[in-house]
Amino acid sequence: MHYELPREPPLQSIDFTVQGFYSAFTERSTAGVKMMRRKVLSTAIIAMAMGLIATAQAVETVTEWETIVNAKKHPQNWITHHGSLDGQRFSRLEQINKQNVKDLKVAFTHIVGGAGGAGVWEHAGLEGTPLAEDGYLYITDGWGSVYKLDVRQNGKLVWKMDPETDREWAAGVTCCGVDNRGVALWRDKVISHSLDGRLIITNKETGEIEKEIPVADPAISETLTVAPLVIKDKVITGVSGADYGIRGWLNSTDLVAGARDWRTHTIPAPGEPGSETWKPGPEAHSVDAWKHGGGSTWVNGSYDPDLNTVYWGVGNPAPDWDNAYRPGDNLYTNSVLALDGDTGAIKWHFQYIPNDPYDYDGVNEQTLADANVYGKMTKVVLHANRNGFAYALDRTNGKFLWGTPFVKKLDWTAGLDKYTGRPVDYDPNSDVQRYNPASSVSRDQRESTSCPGNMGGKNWPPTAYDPERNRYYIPVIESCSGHVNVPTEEPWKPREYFLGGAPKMGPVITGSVTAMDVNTGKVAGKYETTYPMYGGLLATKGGLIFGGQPDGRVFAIDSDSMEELWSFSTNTAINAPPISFEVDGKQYIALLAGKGGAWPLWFISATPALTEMEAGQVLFVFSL
Amino acid sequence: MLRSIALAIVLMSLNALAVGPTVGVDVRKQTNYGLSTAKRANCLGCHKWHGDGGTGYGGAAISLRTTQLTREQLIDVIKCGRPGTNMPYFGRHAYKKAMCYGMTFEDFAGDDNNRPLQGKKYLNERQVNAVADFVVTELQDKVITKAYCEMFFGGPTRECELIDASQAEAGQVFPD
Repeated sequence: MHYELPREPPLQSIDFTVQGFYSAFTERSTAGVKMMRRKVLSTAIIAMAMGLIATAQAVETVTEWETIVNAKKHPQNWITHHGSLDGQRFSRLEQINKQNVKDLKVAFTHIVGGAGGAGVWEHAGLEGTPLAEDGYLYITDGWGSVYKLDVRQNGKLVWKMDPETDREWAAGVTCCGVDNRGVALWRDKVISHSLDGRLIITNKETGEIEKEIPVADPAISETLTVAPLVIKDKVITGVSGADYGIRGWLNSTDLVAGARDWRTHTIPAPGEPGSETWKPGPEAHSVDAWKHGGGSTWVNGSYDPDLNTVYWGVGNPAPDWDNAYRPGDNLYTNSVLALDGDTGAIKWHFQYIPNDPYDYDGVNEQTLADANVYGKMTKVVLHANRNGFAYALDRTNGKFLWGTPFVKKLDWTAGLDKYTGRPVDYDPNSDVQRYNPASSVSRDQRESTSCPGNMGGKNWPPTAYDPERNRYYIPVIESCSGHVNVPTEEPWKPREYFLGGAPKMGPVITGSVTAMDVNTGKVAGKYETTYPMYGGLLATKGGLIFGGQPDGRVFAIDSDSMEELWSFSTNTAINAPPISFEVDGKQYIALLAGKGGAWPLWFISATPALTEMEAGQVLFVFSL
Repeated sequence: MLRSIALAIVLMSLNALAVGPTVGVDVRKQTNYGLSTAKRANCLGCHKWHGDGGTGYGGAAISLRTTQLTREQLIDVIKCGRPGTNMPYFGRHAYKKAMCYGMTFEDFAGDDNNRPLQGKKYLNERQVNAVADFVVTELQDKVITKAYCEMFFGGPTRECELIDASQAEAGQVFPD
């Protein structure tokens, strides 16, 4: 348990409520909150009379930055999106292990609301990572409502915060489902996003919204599905909307001031470094291609406190399938950015695919590890791209270390240059890349098929890294699929797709969990799955990898042998990653189950056996 | 190859034909049922809420406002889809018998890139007819209107406020 008293008493009175402590930027104050404040205040006064220990118990757990940085020392909790700032998704709990995981059973469930749809979306989905802190869980539904649940009371609801998202407005410009990937904790607040573009600061104890800050604008197709990343007293927000032609960014908000701190665009403006990689295409309106160049940032990044560096993946350029419209390398799309944690200044970048014609993206998470690579201890950043390659870079400078296919079939390039990591078929003398021309579309070849397909490889569902085994586990979509080019003859229009083509279904798609040996950069093992992996992974010190399938099956596999040791059918699609936490000496595994995302609408034909799968929204929590 | 060419000719000929709409007895009821069915089957995910199609994550969909397919041809395409494109089939028995362009699944064996794609859910005869009637009465040869928008979204929304009536009246299918 982690109790702390406020460090600075308010000026007018001793107000021990968390509401009072941070009320300097409170905009909403309700009668309910005031009553709560009086109640807690009186409790605090009584407690003061009884002694300091009792006083401390009157205050809600405060999530300090120090605790977030040292999350690995508190394995009972899962207090950041990826479990730790390095993005490893590795739990140091080992009560559940290889020997006893066969006895894992449902401890409790919680039916999650917010399943309703809007516009073309028949229903919302659950893609969130729960957070766990001192016996409480914080989860979100697709519309951005936050739920606080009490583990000790069988998952009973403590409060629900509904941001009352403007559903039709936001859903009209979301390419890939009504989704929200989770919250962040900061001091005595819960930080979250709404699909319609707001950053929301909620009181952790009462569930009252204290402040809403507009960050993204659906009028120009910007939406928010990403989980926030708190760094010190600031929070970084990534944006969705490249497929509608946004100009992507990362945005830092000062949580104390309640105002923007910095914003770094992922597409440089004319005159900025990298702007030379955006050249006009054949159409006159393409001179403004950079204004609508895409580069979304909708997957939570990682942070190295020693280097004070944020690592964040950047998505596809727009229009996705018409790279002749945007000649040049199109920085910083399909890249990882290393940014200064205080200013957002770009320290270095590495681009996976210049002038991407495949919608391969680079937005997937970045995993930091201090690991042996070729026998030498190295500060690496790992990344599994939709293009089917896993990458290891030196995270101090962006130097390429290795890149290896993790999919069974990859045909879009002959390979990566072993020194630069660039696709070997990249043509430095051409502004419009074809890579393997048989696999890519162009204005002269309007249809093609590539392996992997545009969904990957591997999509947003996160990887896990086991530092004890130096293994990187990837939730894989084993796929081939088609691409269609439609020349971008019309200028960009607000709130309309800006794709320059479309994906086209091909063969039936399956999946796997693939283990990479980080030292050698080689595939160490594969666990084949019937369906694509559309939920992420969790690695545990118990020697287990947990994951889920879109047919509802949750599984645990042996981290070494990759053999399945346990499974359980939730009978509703798994589209979210598991976490682990501990309460009163008992280890739990939790994950959200609920069909959503892009698959049910756009790619269901690639998994026909899932066609009849109904939507449902449930939190499952398992224990021995 | 011959099979693909024959299929292409059949599909192209569907596009070339044009006949006016056929409307049921209770137009409003049939329209509402058609719209709700079209939503559930994800027709308007690809053809968009406005029905004007275009590029999208579901595929490059044709415009249901400018299509020249007859009601009967729309019914055929809804039941059978368009192999070789992302338009899926919604008929439960499609390609199991030779009811779709004279072809069965066996005809596509080994041709994964052109195989018939299964829709999000099967539609029965009544539902297929309702979707076709909805297309004919509300979309085909019509300009987009705020009234249509509000019908789709179930009431006034910010999306519908964007529709400029003057542009719609000028004959533009979808405003700039």
